[in-house]
Amino acid sequence: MDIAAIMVEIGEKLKTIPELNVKPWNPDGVTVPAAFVSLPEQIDFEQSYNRGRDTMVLEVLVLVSRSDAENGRDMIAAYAKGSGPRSIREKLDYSGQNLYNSCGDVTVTGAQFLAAEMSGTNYLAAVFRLEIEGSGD
Amino acid sequence: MTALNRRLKVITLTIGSISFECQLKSWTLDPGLDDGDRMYTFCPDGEFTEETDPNYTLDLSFFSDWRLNGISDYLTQNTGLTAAFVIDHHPDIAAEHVRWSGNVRIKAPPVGGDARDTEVTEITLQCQGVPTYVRV
Repeated sequence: MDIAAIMVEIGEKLKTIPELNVKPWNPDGVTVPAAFVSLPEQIDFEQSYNRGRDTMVLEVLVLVSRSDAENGRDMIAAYAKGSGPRSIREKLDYSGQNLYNSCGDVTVTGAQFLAAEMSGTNYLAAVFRLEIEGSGD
Repeated sequence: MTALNRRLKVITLTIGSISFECQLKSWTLDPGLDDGDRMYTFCPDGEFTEETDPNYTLDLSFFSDWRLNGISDYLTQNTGLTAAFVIDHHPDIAAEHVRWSGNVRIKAPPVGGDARDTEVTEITLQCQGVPTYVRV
C-alpha cells in the first residue's frame, strides 16, 4: 500500500462533503469546517504470507468551529453521524458501492471528540479512526 | 551447527493447483502422531511402547476470500472431494527449501464472525495418507 496515495484518495472522498475544506496532510492554517488526513499511527506489515496483507491505522481530524461557538455541536454531530450527506463514516467506509483504488478495505471504527488548538485558536474537533487493509505490494 | 532461526514470511501453498498463500495467516501440517502407550511385562526388561500411525492434518487460518476460486469459494465448491496440495516452505532460502505434497479431503469452511471484524476462517483438512517430504 502506498500511504500517500491512500491519503489522497481519502481526501478526494472527503471533498464530496459540501463546504468541507479538505487537506490530505496536516497544514499550518485552517479554514473551518476542515478535515485533515494525517499520516498513519502505524503500519503493520505481513499479516499474511508472501506480502499478502498489510494494515495501518490512520486518522482524519475534523475541525468545525471555535470550541465556544453555539453551532459547533450541531456541525460536529452531522460529521459524526453514521450516515447522511456530511457523514464521515458514510463517505469513507469501504463497501461494494464505495470502492478504493489505493487499498483493499477501509473501516471507520469510531471517533473521539476534543478541543484542538491550531494557530492559537481552540476548535471543536473530532478525530476519526480508520483501519485500512490492503495488499503488501 | 551454528544457531539459526527464521521468521515465517514466504511459502507457497497450492490446493488443487490454485495458489492460496497470500490469504494465509497461519498454517500447520500436523503429523498427528500420538505417543504410543507404554506397556510392561513381568520380564526385568519387559517394557515397550506401542507403535502409532500418523494422522496428518493441514490446519489453516486464512483471510476469507469469496471471489471465484478464492480459498473460501474453492473449499465450499469442492466439499467432499480429494485434492492435491503442495507446500513449499522457505522457497526463497537456498538450502532450506523443503516441500510437502500430498492429498487432502476438502470440506466447506465455517463462515461468519463478529460485526466489523476482518473475516478470518480456520479449518482443519484431513490428509489422505502420508504427505511426501522432499528437499528442493
